[in-house]
Amino acid sequence: MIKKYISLLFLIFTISVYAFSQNRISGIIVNQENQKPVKDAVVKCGSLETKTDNKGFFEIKNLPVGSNTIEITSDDFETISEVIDLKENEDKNLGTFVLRTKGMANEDLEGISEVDLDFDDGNSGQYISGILSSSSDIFVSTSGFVLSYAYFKMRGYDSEYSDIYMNGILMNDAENERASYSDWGGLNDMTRNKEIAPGISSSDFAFGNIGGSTNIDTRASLIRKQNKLTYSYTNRSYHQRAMYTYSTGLMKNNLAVAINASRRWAEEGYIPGTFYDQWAYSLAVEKKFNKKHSVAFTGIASPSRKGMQAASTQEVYDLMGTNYYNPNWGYQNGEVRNAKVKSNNQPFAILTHYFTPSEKLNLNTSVGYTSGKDGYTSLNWYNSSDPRPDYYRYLPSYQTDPAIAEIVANKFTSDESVNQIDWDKLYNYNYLQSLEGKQASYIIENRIDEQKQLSINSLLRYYLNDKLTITGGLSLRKYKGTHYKVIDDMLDISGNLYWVDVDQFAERDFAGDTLKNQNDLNNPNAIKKEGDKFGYDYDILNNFGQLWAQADLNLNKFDFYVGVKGSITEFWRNGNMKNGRAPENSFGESAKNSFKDFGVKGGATYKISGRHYIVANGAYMTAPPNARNSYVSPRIKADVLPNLESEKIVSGDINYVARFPGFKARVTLYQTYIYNQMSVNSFYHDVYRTYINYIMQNVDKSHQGVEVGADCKVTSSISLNGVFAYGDHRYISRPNATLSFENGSKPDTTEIIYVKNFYVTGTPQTAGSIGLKYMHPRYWFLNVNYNYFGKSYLSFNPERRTETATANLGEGNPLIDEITEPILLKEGYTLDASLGKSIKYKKYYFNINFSVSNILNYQQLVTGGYEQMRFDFVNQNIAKFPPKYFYGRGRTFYLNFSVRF
Amino acid sequence: MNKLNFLTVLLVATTFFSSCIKEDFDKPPINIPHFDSTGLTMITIAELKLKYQGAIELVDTNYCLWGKVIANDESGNLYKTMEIQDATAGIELKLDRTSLFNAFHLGQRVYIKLQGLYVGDYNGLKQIGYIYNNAIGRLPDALIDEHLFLDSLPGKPIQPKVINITAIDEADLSKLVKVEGVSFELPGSPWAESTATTNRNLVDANGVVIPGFLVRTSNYANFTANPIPSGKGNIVGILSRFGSDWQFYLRDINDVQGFVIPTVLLNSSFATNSDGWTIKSQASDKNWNYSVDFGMYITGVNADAPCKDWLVSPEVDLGTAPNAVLTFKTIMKNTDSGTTNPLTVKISSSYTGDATTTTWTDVTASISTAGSWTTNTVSGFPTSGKYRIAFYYESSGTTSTTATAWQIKDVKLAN
Repeated sequence: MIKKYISLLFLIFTISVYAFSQNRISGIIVNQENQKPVKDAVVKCGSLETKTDNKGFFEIKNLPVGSNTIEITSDDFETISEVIDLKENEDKNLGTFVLRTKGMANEDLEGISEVDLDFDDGNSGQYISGILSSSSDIFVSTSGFVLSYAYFKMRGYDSEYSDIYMNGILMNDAENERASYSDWGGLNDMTRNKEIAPGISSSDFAFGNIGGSTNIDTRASLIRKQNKLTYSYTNRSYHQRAMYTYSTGLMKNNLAVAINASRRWAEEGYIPGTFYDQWAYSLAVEKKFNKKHSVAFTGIASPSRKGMQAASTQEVYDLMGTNYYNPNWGYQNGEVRNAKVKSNNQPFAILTHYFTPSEKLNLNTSVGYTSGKDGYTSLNWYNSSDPRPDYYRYLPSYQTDPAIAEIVANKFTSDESVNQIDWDKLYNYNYLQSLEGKQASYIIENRIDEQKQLSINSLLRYYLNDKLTITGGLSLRKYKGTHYKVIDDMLDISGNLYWVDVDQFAERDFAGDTLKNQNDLNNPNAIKKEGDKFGYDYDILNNFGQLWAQADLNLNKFDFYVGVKGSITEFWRNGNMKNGRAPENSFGESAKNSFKDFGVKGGATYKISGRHYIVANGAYMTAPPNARNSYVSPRIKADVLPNLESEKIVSGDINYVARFPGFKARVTLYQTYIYNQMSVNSFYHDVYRTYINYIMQNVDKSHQGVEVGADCKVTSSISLNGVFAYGDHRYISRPNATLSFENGSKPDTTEIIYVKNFYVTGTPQTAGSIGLKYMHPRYWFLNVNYNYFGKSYLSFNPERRTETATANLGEGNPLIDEITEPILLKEGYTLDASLGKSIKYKKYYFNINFSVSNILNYQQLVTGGYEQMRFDFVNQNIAKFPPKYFYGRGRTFYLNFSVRF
Repeated sequence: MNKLNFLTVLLVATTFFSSCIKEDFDKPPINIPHFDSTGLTMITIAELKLKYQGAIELVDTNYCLWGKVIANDESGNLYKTMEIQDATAGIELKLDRTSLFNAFHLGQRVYIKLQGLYVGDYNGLKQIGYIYNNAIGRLPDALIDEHLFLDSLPGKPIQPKVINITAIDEADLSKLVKVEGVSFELPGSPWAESTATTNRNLVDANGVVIPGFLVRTSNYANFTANPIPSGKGNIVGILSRFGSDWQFYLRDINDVQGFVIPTVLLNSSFATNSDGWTIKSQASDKNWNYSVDFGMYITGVNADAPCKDWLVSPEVDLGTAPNAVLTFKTIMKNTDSGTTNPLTVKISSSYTGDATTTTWTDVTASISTAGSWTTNTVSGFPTSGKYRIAFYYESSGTTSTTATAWQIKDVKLAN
């Protein structure tokens, strides 16, 4: 392969005209990032001009003999030009030209790339769209980056509607359909190459999903040859990052090797009591056997342990004088200890065969295997007082006498053993239990999810002729998830403590019943020690197969595509314990639930001119219910919800795209309907005093809105950009809710939830950003962004929108509105800036970047939270269980330093 | 180049290990509390009771007393209440905190700084607490740690004093006491009904209820649903008082000693389903029905004819049951002017699978006609064999004056 790079400086040569003859030049143009063909690139030679076809192929005939300059231009790529010498009647194959994405031209002296920042801080467990920030679309990259501060979700979709692939293997979780970015966190250089298909569109690697799809490509030969050290210092969820990258590129022996490893850590992150410790290592190897066959291996592991933050009520934030109070930690022997520790270790390996039998056909086949374990620790207690410092009965608001409330408030604000977890006290209480030979009162349990998955994916691309391309794929997946909890720490000084495996909530509600309270009838009243499994233990098994195909037709004025997919999903439960609340349907394998699903999509681009385009996309698809939502009480029993059905999605958008040399813009109108969604909430119910699973079915939603993105070059070094999203995302049905009581004290019941026309929660529906980019010719740069977030609604408690919640309140009673109205959150503004400098010294490239987020230190923006999932039915008082909030971080900085050689 | 690569890797590795995240925590040392009473005026519990005789009085001197915990809230029978005792007397503490036993185990020595606390009288019982609506109430949680102090680890628990319930000494109030050789009036019944704290009577050797002495159990106690034992035995607990009645609180089920513990032969709560009972209608279009809220229920009102309806249990093996007792809860609504016993209990050892063709034997039962859940106790069962028990419902007519309505739940046969 002849590789021809020419930098952004381009030279204009005079064309010497000697004579015309029957000669011909031809070549192929590919994208540097993924080696895929670039279509519609303009190839110019003197007065002759042509465009590349769907294979990236071009030819020009009848050129003058002698020296010619050819120039290759394309909207998204840097222009390259090259001088060629032609003899008479020569048919010259120029080989492959590699185009680099615009803005990447200075990659040798790169500015901070957005993916370098800490998107997967994992602290709130919310969806982070950071991965999209590397898109070339201004709206997608901005919303994926600056708007992620407030967890802006594009078009209001949940993360289960965004598909993430790695080398063709779907990385979304088989049980909840969400991708866990943390699984490859800290490996920025290994995962830098991506293909992004935003929303419904023609895609090179998958059928696609309404929230877009991304394929991370870790093929070793595509990772830039480098030796790189990175060090970062910040005050966000971690404080320091060290990273090393080594890549050979494709060597003479046709082997390519890449290594990327990092550690990110903090003893205490931005939020008090949260530590952060994530290691990551990866290896990619590729061997190119010949022009047709290449085999690549990727292995990635990113084990982490993180101390977590919990939301609290405004009363507590106000008492503590900060919106970043964290109830999860306390002092043990004078040292900070967090009770909620999230651990993640899901290593995976992918083997890919790249097969190119001819220049018209690609067939890439990947096999992926993963086996790992995630954990989440939590305090558990038996017949004892709640150890969480912000439990509502410990707060001033619980007191009726103002004098007592003041005493409680004073104590709460002044005593760290009151406003944080008092570990020494818990140890001491446990020790007193051990003196009487009794079981531990307090333990730390670890809720573990183990996953094993084998996936196979084949992707075929066939260039039928220069106008028609056929793409298609086959995916097969076998999954097993095992869920159980173990005693992580008995909090035991004596060494004698133990835990009896019964359900204390069933024990109380079925006093005297020695069967119902058992968690495992095969092992009744089992005595458990540290490390032992207890409580629940079950597997979810899932088999999945899918076929899809897509045809792309590229004409002069129009591009068209159509796609179709079909899939089969089956899942079932295997119980490893025989639960006393469900002796008949908890142990062993359950019946299988299977679903057949399909989807169709299509779209067209009308090229009004090279500057103006109209693009329209549409899709209809069904998606199987996920196992996580389908079982009413998966920890207890195998019962599934009645009438389990696939959800149905109808989606369409229409776009106007402008592409001038100094100005790019996109305006989009979209409308999506999702029918028959399900969602599940599991929580401890203070009134029924047991764990409850609250599952909503028949949730229908409408997502509609406008997206605008524009980028304008004011001078050669200054550009302005802006994005704006206005959404109207609503519930359009009255869902059915099923309540399942884990202690079995009441049979499963259903009720109607009155939330029609409620807004979809968990994202600002209106958001925007205005940015200024300054690029000094001597490799200084400055970015400033001012961002707006609005129309965000707090996640609601469905129980408050039922007939029973407002029972006995007469019509017109203001309490009805108070109980049922959704809560609109305050809007907010943030200002971000980043300053960078790149230096080249001999063969060393230094890059320094300093960025500050939320410069104005605005600390009032609620970026997450929820109404508590319990309601005071007796007094219908919403203040009894007030909402809990997460606040967006105040001012933070990120200092990044890297050297490459 | 290779050397340089090696160096960089080394450099990276050094950076990584230069900081480690602390996660291996020291266990805190065993905390042996010690209270220093210097500067305080020590008094005994008996002296305190003597000094503060009013309905409610503030302690405004720097008095301090100590006692050992003799009862706490571990079993749930006491709620936000704890009893301490010294060599002179015992007293009840009213504290606005749950799970007091986490810190205050039996035998724990506790010092109380009394200044600022209130001593009051609650229907004849002296308590230490706080003021609430001008009467004695609970000491707020936030103040507990400023007045109650642990001293040393829990020691040997105080032994109960044996008392004679026919001649109780007022000085024994709030002390740990033991009553020997007693029998209960309603063996087989639960200690408390599921909805309320319940008083149970003791009977003398002739089966006559001993007046003015109640064994009182909370429905939140962890032994609330256990069947009260038959025969004779001893009980240990706290002696209390409400007005003219002596009340006796068990601390937990281990305080019930030497009785025959009943075996449960049949237990049908009807809490979530009909627990395998069979229904059969012999006359009328009405049947026994099940609902979560009502349990098993029937009414003959608006039936097409007077009712004859059977509710038959699964088979019960009496094994060797010399003294089986059936308990069940009922609610009756309406009266039936034409029938004296609208609901009867029958048994049969030869169930044919059809109640109407089975030969049944009546069991003498006086079933409560109360309109709220009430426990019924029925005895007189055979001493061995396999039987079915039936509830047989009859009505004389089809109106609310000629047909009763019944609800049944918590059916338990115990020996």
